Amino acid sequence: MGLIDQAVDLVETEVNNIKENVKDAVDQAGYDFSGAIYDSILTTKVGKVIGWAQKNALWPATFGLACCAIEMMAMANSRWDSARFGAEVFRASPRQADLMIVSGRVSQKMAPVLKLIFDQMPEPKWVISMGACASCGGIFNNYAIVQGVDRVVPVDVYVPGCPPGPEALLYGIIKLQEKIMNEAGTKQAAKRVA
Amino acid sequence: MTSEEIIEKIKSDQEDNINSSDVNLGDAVIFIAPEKIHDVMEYLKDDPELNFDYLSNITGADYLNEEREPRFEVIYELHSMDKNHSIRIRVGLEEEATTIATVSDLWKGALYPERELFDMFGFNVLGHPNLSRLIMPDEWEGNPLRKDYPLITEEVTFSHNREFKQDLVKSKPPTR
Repeated sequence: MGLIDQAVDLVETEVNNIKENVKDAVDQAGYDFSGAIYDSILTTKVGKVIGWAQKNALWPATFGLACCAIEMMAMANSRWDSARFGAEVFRASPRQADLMIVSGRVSQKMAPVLKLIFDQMPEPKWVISMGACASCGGIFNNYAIVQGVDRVVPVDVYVPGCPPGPEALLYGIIKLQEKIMNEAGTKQAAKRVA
Repeated sequence: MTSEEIIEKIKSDQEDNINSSDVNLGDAVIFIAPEKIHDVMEYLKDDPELNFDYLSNITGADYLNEEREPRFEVIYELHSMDKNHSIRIRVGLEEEATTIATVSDLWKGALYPERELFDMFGFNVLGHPNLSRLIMPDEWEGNPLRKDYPLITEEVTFSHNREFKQDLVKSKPPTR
């Protein structure tokens, strides 16, 4: 074996060592930075994000029908503070609202008006039936009162009570938020917007 | 004037138009026939001693299933602002002839109560300028304050309503 061959062997060994070292270094860098990538990027569905945005900005329509409306107003004030759940902005126009709180008994003559206001609200929209009268007619089982507002508009959450206190209505709003979040990203949620 | 004095004066002036009269718990009450109503009301308003310039109220009554004739009654309450005395006029209406003349040409305040009479009892108020339903929707059927109008709109399943509940159980669809 000549000197030249020896030199060639040495060079090849060195080159292979360097290659191995670089490969190890690249692998090590891959392990190091892979964790950082998983920590900084969040994957979700678009529908879930939209639902999350919708549930935290439920703007009710200013729509009081009877004594339940007093409790509904109390829910918005600083003592119960529905602003904690993003439902404090009572809009005077149904075109800017996405939650209708039916607070009180609905008379036969009011039912077409209520339906019109509901139709004027943009999709997606939700309805809370507040109190015994709005849910089933309550004590007014007579010719003048609609026996449950679900005969006129689709109701999402029923809040029982006569009248329900502000905390009960807040609980109803939280339940509605849970419903929106459970529904988010599904076909029903897409149907609401369509 | 006291109630007795009012009754005495009306009796002497309008003898032919009045069926009977009464002083009930201190209130002067006169009973008249429906065809005399406008003449008597005009007299009550224009007579300087009586001077009933204010119409307090008009209501109706239905005496179905009671020992009383005729079935319906229209009740007018008049008051005099100057003299500070009042009177009640009761007009009986037969079931077949529920027609009464308007008094809205004497007191403008009669316009709404008379529409309410038409709405709630179905009385035909002759001469009213705008006789349409006041409280119920325009296309409503029936007159809710008549005694033969159903009191409730639907049966309820409270525990004391046993028979209705049993029927519900019978007609209940089989569960899985």
